Amino acid sequence: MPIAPTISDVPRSRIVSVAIVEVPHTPRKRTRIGTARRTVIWAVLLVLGAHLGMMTATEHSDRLRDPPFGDKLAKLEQLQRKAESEAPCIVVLGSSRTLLGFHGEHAEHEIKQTLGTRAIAFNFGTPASGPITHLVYLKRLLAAGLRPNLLILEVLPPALQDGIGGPVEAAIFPGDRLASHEVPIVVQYGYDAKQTYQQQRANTVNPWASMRDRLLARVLSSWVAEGSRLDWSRNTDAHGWSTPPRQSITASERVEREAKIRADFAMPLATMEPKRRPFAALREILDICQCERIPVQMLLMPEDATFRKLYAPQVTQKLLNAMNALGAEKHVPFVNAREWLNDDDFYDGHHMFRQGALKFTSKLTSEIIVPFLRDTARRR
Amino acid sequence: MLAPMLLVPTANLAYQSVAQLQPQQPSWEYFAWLHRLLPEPFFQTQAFLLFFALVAAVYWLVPRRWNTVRVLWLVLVSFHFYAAWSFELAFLVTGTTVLDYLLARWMDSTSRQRLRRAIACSSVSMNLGLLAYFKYKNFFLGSLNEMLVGAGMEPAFSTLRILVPFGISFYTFEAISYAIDVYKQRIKAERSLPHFLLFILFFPHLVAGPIVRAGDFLRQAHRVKRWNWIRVQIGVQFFLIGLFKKLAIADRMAIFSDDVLAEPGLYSTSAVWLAVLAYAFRIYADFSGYSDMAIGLAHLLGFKLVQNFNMPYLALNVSDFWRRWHISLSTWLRDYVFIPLGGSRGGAWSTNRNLMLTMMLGGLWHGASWSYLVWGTLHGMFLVVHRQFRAFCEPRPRLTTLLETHLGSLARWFTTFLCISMAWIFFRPDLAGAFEVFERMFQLHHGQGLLLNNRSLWYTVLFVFGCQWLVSKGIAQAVWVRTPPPIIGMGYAACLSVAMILTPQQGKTFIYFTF
Repeated sequence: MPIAPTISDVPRSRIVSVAIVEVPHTPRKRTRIGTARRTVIWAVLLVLGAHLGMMTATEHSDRLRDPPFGDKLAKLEQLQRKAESEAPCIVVLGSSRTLLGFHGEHAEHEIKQTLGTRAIAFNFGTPASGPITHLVYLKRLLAAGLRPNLLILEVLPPALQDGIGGPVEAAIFPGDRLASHEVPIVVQYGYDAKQTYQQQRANTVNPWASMRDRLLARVLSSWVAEGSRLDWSRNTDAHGWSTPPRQSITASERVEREAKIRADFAMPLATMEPKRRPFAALREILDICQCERIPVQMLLMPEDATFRKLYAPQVTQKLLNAMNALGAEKHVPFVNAREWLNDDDFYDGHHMFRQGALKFTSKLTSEIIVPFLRDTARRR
Repeated sequence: MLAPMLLVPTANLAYQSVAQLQPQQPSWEYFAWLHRLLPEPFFQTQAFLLFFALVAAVYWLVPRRWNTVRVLWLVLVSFHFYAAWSFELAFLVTGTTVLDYLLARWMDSTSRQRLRRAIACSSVSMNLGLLAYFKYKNFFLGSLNEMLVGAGMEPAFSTLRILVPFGISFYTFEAISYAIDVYKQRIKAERSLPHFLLFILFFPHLVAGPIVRAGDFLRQAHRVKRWNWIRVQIGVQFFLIGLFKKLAIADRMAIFSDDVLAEPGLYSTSAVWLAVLAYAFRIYADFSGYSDMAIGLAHLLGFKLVQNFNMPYLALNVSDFWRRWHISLSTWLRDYVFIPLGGSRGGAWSTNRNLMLTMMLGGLWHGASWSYLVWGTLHGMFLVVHRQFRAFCEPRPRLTTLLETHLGSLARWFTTFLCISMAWIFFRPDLAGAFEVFERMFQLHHGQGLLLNNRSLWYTVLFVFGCQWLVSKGIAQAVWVRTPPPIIGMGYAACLSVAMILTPQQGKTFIYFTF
């Protein structure tokens, strides 16, 4: 309510001066102001809370930050919960070759048939991964309390290469899939420090934006472009294995794929040097296994004849010599399975169809896993 | 943190050619440093939010009684906001603003009508000349060259690589309206240069409007502002809604529309139709989102800018659409083009002519391309047809009653939305491409589908219509006033988080930044 009388009530001749008087806030307006203030304060607190919450969750949750690892770990933990407490756990850690190649359920079946005992055989293959990714994953598995009774470690020859901008894995396994303490590990093995720290820091500075594709893919996967989803791991079987949707290809498709393999791999495989930093990451994996008393075997996965021809002869020799030398140095057996399968077991020269996966798994189980388990049982 | 990181990554600035959008690296060290801090004048970037936090903090810390200091501070930061992008153009804008100020003061100081008219014409010509040079020179020269080539001669004019000052279409219109208002004595010329500079340079509305009127803004500039929590809440709410529209709706719709409309020949008929629908929502969310952010930022500084959008896609006819879409531009065109041309004071023919001319000018204002002229012409035709149809219905009460039933309203809404969406196809710089889109839509073609599953497109469209329906029925407001502050605060936090989750990887520049 105005305090001063209205100007229009006063004759002009009587106006000496005009005072501007503040109209006090009415109780209703005071309530609205109070409500507005509380709303803004709550909004600020909740935004900060959401930010901090997401930041913390991103830093501590492998599943949130790195869905392929998280999904695989969850499936492995589920198998362990279902299995008998004494069942040995065999983990095959590798790339997409392993992802499509090692059929865990089939291996368990063969072990049961041969030895009469149950075991857990799990496929921890992730696409385009190499020794640096495997090193980080091994550390995460150990931190989660998972110690495999046997670790079969795939060595992917193209991933032993240092690219111009760093290891080839850096493009597929970037900094925003790492926790802050993992960044020095990958930087040590050739990742670009500035870029990796910046990518990882995005999880802290703006976690909702940084994690958006991964979050959205979990809830509304059709809203995210396929290449950005990182949700392929949800479609693997309970043992982590996956297979191509089609189990055969036409002759023209085969020709096309062979051309693609040549385009993608001919250069790196012609000049590969297995002595660079990714190879050093491989050494560290073996050292950790030794320290943790985890039996480990190194494995070169099968390839078809076309793919094997891409390696320059001296490169093949260097690779095998390096693997043998490393195996001898670390007392780790090295299995060269490159020629284990026929050409028509592959759909693109190094990724297997289902039939190839079963054949490979049977051979791996009978030649590596079963003898190991038998030995272990005998020693007990 | 001070590195110019984006709230979300923005990789693609190319809505028009990059040469037109990206200034050269500044030669002065100070401005080069400024450019590194604030490389883009976009509200959704972290760099801008830090900039605004600093501006607002200093602004409100200055005591109320030093209002002129506050105004000077805003003028200074607005200049720097522009100069961070291009200091040469910032000086140009400031220089022309000072000239407008002086011309208006001169106009006000004389009562000689012919002199006043001459001064007003000088001011208007200067602003139109700037607009013509920067925005339309290459368009006119290019068109002349095409005509020469068409007549079998060699092209005689070379086009220039000109950096178009951002916001030029908006602030020249503000300056023109100011000069005309002073000439017609609707307002007095502003005596304080800082206040006038603020009217033009005020950074929230500098990039893409709303087009403010001098009388309204200058009154606010002179008013001493107190910290007001209600205004702060309104500002935060507007900003967050605008951010959501831009990130979660506009940029997401761009996934469905941009590639398809750029190369319609590769896509199927259904994909092109969906792209056109997505484009309609992209434009709306992009521009209204920007406007909401600008209004929100202004509120946070104690200024109230005009509402620029009022749920335009709920319009039941094209006239209604133009009362809801880019309101500041449509009222400007009405007051400074349509009415001076004669408005609707003459007969039907002259009214329709005036409508056509106004809308054609409005189309050309948006972009220096024949396609924008076609877009404006189409809207002129829609308005003319609507006027004629309304005249046809007036003596037919049954028809009027039928049109006002639910079904009739639905039919009117659908027809309006369809016409508007079809016209948006021309709201791109490429005229030939627009015709190709039409051809693709109305003849059955096979081709690629959309890049992403269209589920998110439909959900977004339904979400937008749903929210607008709730607001138009008053349901949203009724619920809002009863909602306790923590829940509203949670709503704001959720709005921000969801906006950041839904924004696609490839961010887009504001469409209206290019006007």
